[in-house]
Amino acid sequence: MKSQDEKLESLLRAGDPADGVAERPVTAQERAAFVRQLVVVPPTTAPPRRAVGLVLVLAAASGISLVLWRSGGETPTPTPQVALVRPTHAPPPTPAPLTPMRSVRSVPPPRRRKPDKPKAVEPESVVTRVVIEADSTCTTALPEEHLLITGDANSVVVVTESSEVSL
Amino acid sequence: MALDLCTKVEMQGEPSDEVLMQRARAGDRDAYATLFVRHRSALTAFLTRFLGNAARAEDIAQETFLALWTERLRFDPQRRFKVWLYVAARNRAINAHRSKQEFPLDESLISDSNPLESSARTLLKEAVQGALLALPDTQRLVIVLTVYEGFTYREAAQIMGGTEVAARVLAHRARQALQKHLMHWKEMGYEIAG
Repeated sequence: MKSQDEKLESLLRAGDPADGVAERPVTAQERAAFVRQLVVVPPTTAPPRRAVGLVLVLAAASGISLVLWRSGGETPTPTPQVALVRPTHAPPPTPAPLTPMRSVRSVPPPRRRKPDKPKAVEPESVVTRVVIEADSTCTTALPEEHLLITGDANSVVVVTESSEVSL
Repeated sequence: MALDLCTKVEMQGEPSDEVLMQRARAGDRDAYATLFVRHRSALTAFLTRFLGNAARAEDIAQETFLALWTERLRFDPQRRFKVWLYVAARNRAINAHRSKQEFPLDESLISDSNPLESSARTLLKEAVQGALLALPDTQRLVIVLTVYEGFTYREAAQIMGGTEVAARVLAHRARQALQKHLMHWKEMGYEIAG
C-alpha cells in the first residue's frame, strides 16, 4: 500500500505541468546557434576580492573611545598583526577618515553601567600609532575583554582620545 | 559537497558533466555545447514547473547557459555541475518572478495534443499546475527539485541556499498544502499509470 507521500508524488508526476518539455531534444540547429553565441561572449575573469574593511566602535566603561579597524588586501596574511595606538604628548598625524561599514560585536559585553555614547574620533584627537608585532595573547591585554581580535587581518589599530589606556 | 565517485567517472565513453565543464573553462565551446544539449530540456522543464510558463522558462534556460559561459572560470571543479547550473537558473527564475512579471497560465501546458488522452489527465495537469503555483516560491522550489528533478534534499538545499533541515521542513509544509489542493483527486481514487 502506498504511503500518502508516495500517492501525492505519483499524482504530481502524472499531472506534471512540464510533461513533454523535458523530452524535447536539442536539435542540431539549436546547438549550432548556441555555439555561435558563445563565440561572441567574452569570458569573465574572477573579480578581485573586495578590500575588507571593518570598523569597530566600542566604548569602555571609563569613557575611553576605542576605534579599531582592520584593512585587508587581496591576500590575507595568515598571522594577524596588531597595531596599538597610545596617546602621546606629541601631536599625531591625522588618521585617515574611516567609513564604518558595519559594527560587529563578537561577544556580549559584561553587565555594567551603561557606558556613555561613544564619541566619534575627531580630526584633532591626539593619537599616535605604535605598531607592534603581537600574537593573540596581546589581544587579551586590551582593557576590554570582548575586544577579541582574530582572523586574517593585516593590521588592527586602536585610536584613543585619552591617555588612560592600559595595555 | 564533494563529487560522488559515479559523477566523476566517465561512463560509456561519455565524459561527465564536470569533465566537460573543465574543458569549457579552458575555452572549449564544443564541450560546453554538449552540456547545453544534455541539460537544456531538463532545465527548461524545471523552470516551466517553477514559473508555470514554458516560453518564459525556455528564455531563462537559454539566458542561464549563456551567463554561465561568461562565468565559467568561477566553476568549482569539486562541485557538481548540475547543482551549479540549477542555482544559476533558480536565481534568474526568482528574479523574474519578483520583477512582477505576470506569466499567464500557459494553456499549451494543460491542453493535450493527443486526442486519445483522457480529459481527466488534462484536468489533473491543470490542477497540479494550479496547486504548485499556489505554493510560496521556496516550497514550490523544493517540491520541483526533489519530486521532479530527482535532487536529494541536501542538493536541493544547496540550490536553494539553505540547510538540508530547512529544505525538509519546506517540503513537509508543501506536501501538506498540496494534499489539500489535490485532495479530491486522491479521493476520486485517481490511479496513476506507472
